[in-house]
Amino acid sequence: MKDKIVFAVQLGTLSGIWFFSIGVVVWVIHLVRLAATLHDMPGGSLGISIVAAPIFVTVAIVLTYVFFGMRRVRD
Amino acid sequence: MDLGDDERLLMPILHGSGKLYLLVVLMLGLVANMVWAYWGQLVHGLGKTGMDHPVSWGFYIINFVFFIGISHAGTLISAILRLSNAEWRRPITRMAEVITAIVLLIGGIHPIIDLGRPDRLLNIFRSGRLQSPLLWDVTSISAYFMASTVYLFLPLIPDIALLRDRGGRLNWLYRILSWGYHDTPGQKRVLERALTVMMVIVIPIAVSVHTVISYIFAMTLQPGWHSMIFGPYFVCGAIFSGIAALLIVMIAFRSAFHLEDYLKPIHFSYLGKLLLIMSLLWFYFTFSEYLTAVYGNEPQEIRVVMYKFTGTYAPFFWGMLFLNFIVPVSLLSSPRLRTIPSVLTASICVVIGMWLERLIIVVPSLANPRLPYRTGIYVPTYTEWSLFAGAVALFVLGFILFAKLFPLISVWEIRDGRGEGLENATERIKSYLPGYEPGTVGAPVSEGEPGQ
Repeated sequence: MKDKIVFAVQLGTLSGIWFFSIGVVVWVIHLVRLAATLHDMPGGSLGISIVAAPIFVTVAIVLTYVFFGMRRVRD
Repeated sequence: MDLGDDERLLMPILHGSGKLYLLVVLMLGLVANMVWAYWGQLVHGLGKTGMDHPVSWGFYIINFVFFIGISHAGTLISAILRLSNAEWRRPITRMAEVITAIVLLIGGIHPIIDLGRPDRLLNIFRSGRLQSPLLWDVTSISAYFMASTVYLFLPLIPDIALLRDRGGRLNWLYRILSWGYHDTPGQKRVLERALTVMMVIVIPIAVSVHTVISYIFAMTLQPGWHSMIFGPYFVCGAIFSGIAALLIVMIAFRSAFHLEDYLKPIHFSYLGKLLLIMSLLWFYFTFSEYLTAVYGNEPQEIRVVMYKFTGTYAPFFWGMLFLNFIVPVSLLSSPRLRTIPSVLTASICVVIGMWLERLIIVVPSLANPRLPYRTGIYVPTYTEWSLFAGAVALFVLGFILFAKLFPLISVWEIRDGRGEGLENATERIKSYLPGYEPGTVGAPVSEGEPGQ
């Protein structure tokens, strides 16, 4: 398999993880907005989202750091 | 690269065995039966199960809590052992992490199975209530799954690179998954930094996951569920069952691939001690939970307690106590008795006992509602048993598939342990002693001016 294809697949996987993480954040924001519209304890929803959303983003950042970090210091 | 004696660690990848393939066929049969049973449930609805009014949660929710509990074996234990620099962790961590990833996936689909109309899952995305503990579960389990998969993947990269360099049929897969790793000092540093961050992140996530699962019960006003200690009680039970599951897997793997030189009696002794401590802790929580209920003497609460102590569920309740407390304490208290067969016996008992505990928590409270209904009864049907057996088979298949693709004992960590690990451990022990001069590793900070 050519190096370019390998790199493309790896980048695709990383993009998939980012897509998932951003998807979760967008979903959480949607639910907070819904709670606000329905006056259904928006404060509680916001509190939960503040805890949950950053975890996904942090894990995606760690993976991105490893992916590009390992390329940068390969030699 | 010549691995010397460590070549043995790649044996499951390079060689198959007739018994293993037979096991795979058997497990595939169970999975096929599970798919057939689930299809029946999809077509005919939840009427195919033993769930009815008032017991509307049965095997699926019990198994959900049970499997998610088992998942605590891995990432949490591995992260704690890595953070505390426990050198004996090296042959254990990978297996523990794999258990987490597979079991989380299996446990996570159980609430969906519990839905008579699984298509209604989409309502969570459209109009879920984020302030509901059920939604907390969805988010925390997803976060835990993502974090533990990454935590499994990162320390796997050097071993994948090793497999890539050896060539073979699956070289394309190893090339993709190795992320261009070539074991340079810089790459090692990057991996170590990332792993340290993940260790710190994963521990609170793991604890929060099982706490949140307990909230599904504790946030209701149902007798037997509305308890303040349910969070820590569930976390304790999860770690307890997780260690037991890890021990069973370790013993099975050791025996199947003759890894006696890697998984030594000392590993089982240490984990056996941990299991004993968790057994005592679990008993303490159970005692506190029931003592407060009995002392309060609230009629509805007492009805549930008596249902467990002397009623229909009494054999399960006392069986749970016997398996989770009497057996492990009797077998693991004495160093002389703490042999591998007795550790295995205790672990099997704990896994069964902890499943009974989930049963004891879920069913009796629902069977004795506050409203003036007759006491309910729950008898699982063939469908539920099939799905349970299929879930266990999926776990075994997942584990075998992983073992056929990647080393179940971290090769690079074992090699590091022989070199760097040995030096670091010696230095660390020296640093604990009085009169130690600052050296290279773990050197104490001198008591002088700041920045000196």
